[in-house]
Amino acid sequence: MHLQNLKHHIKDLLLLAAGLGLLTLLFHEYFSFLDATSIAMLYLLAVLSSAYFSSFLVAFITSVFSFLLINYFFVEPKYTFQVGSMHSWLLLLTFLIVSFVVSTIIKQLKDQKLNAEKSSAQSQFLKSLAESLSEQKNSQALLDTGCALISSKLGRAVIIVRLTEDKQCILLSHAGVHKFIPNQPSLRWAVESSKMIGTGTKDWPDLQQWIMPFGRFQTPVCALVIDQPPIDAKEAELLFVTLICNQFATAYFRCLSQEQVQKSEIRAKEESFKKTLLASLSHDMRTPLTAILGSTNALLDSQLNLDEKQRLDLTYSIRFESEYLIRASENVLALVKLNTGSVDSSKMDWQLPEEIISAVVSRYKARVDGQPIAIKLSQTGLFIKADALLLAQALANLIDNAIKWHTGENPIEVCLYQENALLSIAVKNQGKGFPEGYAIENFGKTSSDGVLSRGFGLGLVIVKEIVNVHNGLLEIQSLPSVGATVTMRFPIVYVDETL
Amino acid sequence: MTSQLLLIEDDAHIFQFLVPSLSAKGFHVKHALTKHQAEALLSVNTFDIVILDLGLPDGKGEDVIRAIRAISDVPILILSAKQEESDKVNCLNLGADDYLVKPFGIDELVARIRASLRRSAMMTMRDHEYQHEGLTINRVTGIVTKHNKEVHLSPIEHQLLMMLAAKPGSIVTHSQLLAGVWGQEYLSDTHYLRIHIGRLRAKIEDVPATPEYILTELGIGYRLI
Repeated sequence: MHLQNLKHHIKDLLLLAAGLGLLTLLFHEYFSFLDATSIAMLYLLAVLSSAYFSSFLVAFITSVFSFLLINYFFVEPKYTFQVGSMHSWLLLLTFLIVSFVVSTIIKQLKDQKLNAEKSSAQSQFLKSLAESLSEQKNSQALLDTGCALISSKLGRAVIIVRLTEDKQCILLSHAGVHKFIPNQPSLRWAVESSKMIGTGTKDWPDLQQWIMPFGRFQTPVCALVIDQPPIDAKEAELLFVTLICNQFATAYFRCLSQEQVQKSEIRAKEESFKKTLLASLSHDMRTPLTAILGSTNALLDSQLNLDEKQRLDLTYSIRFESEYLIRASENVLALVKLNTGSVDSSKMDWQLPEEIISAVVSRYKARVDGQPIAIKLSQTGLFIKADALLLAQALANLIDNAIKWHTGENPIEVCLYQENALLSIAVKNQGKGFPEGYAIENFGKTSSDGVLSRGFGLGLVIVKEIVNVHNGLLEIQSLPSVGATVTMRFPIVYVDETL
Repeated sequence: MTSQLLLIEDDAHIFQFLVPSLSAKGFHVKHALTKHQAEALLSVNTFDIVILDLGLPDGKGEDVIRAIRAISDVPILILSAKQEESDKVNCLNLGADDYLVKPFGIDELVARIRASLRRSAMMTMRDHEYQHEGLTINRVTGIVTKHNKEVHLSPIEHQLLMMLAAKPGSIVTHSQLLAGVWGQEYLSDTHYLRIHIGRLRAKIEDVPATPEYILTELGIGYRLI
């Protein structure tokens, strides 16, 4: 230990020897007129500086050599090591006390400074760890990032494992130059007693690993394992890794619970989709299918003796119900398309709503029994990002509804206009309006209500869903016995028109 | 002369009503159940139009189109169900002329067939002029007139109109138009297409909001009537 210290101080000692030699030479050759006290003061300065800049050992050696040099060169009897007076011993004592006191104080100061730097670096690391962990999108990314950060900070290989209920050990993440396997029995022991074990701790000190278990109740039981920790690790370092582990565990479990919430939200959405789909299938399909089947059976039944008008009525009924089924199945297909996630808003195409409006309205104009529909475009040439077919479906549903309830003389209106950053498509009809207290969300729950005849609900549910995937808004305005206006509003996307 | 029609359809419930209905409308209908049968029929007969169902048991619609286009320029009308949306666009890009989505009415189908036959008759007469109501497009000189007045189009608008007029009545897909006018690297820039089609309509349509010459096929492309 001392030898090592000596080696460490060899530079200091060489400097010291040179300094003392030079000092002695100068004083002896040129400043011999100075008295012994002044010279002793100057040597004291040398002792002080060595105590300040180096360690007590160097200061001690400086003191002894200074004493010897003063005694040899400047105190009578000169040029012998014989100590002539009590003063000289006092001088040595002073040198030694000064070197001891000063070097001790300096050492304390230096230690304090070092500790402060270390703990500030540590808290800096904990802060940056917390920040990086909070930025992670999922729990696996969090594990990997955390592992990599801890490993690079400590310069050791790090793994995170999970212990299953049947005591299986699953590797969740690892970082560092080599993969390693934690000692299984010790891992289990650590988890069961839920304390940190390994090098430098009271338990399993010969493990050459640090095992820090975390997570107990209602969370997965995991452990952070650090390989080959420093064998001379101090209390402070153990505390530091414990802090790291705690922070890591908190972030991980927070992320896990967020994921859980997201999953259950998705599940709830799927559930509601299934409900809507089932409601629509029974609501919108069974009745027309029953009518079709009944009509065809009647037509095929030779015992019924239907007259020509009855046969014609039944045939028309089959056609009407089939056409109805076509529209209903379009809606069911749209609903499925919307809910299977095949509609991606980022992949949507540039659309000019006026183009979609005219394409949809022209279909209605082609019908023989078509109601007049007026298109009012107050704003053209503005783009939205949309799926053309879905948007057309939404518009067709709104027009279908408008036709169904329209009783006025004037044509049904389809309007396109800009309102701030939104482009609005509104469908207006004159009629009795929506039933009081109508809400799209209640579809499927109030189907027994006579007001909601079939086809009324699903169409608007689809419109709502379609507007949602386009980041738009749906608005219903209704005045009893005046009419209803349903408006879809979409964000405008401006384009560079340079080509 | 009765038109020769090839129906490629494997679903009995569909061809059971299509074959008699089309025959009753005055077409001479030959029927193939599979791609294989269709190829056999195409090799020995000439047809005026082919009606192709995309859901065949022994081959993708694209393969049938390629096989037909390898030997003939006959108009191809596609019947597709909703699930085959992207397939439908592929078929149009490969040279099919028109499509109908199931369910469709027989009247609609007959109207499409007649329109297609009329066009191919017009094209075989080597008539360089497209004419519909007041609009005239000379495919050789490139002169466009509306009610006998020349319409001045920008180069891009002109190119677009010429592409549409080369196959009147047929659907020209977004990607065909984008590739033809701007180039292959602009296939996703549909907004350019929409802007210029809008300007073109403003110049040739009576009421641009309800176009009567250039019709929109939503999500697919455009056609000149």
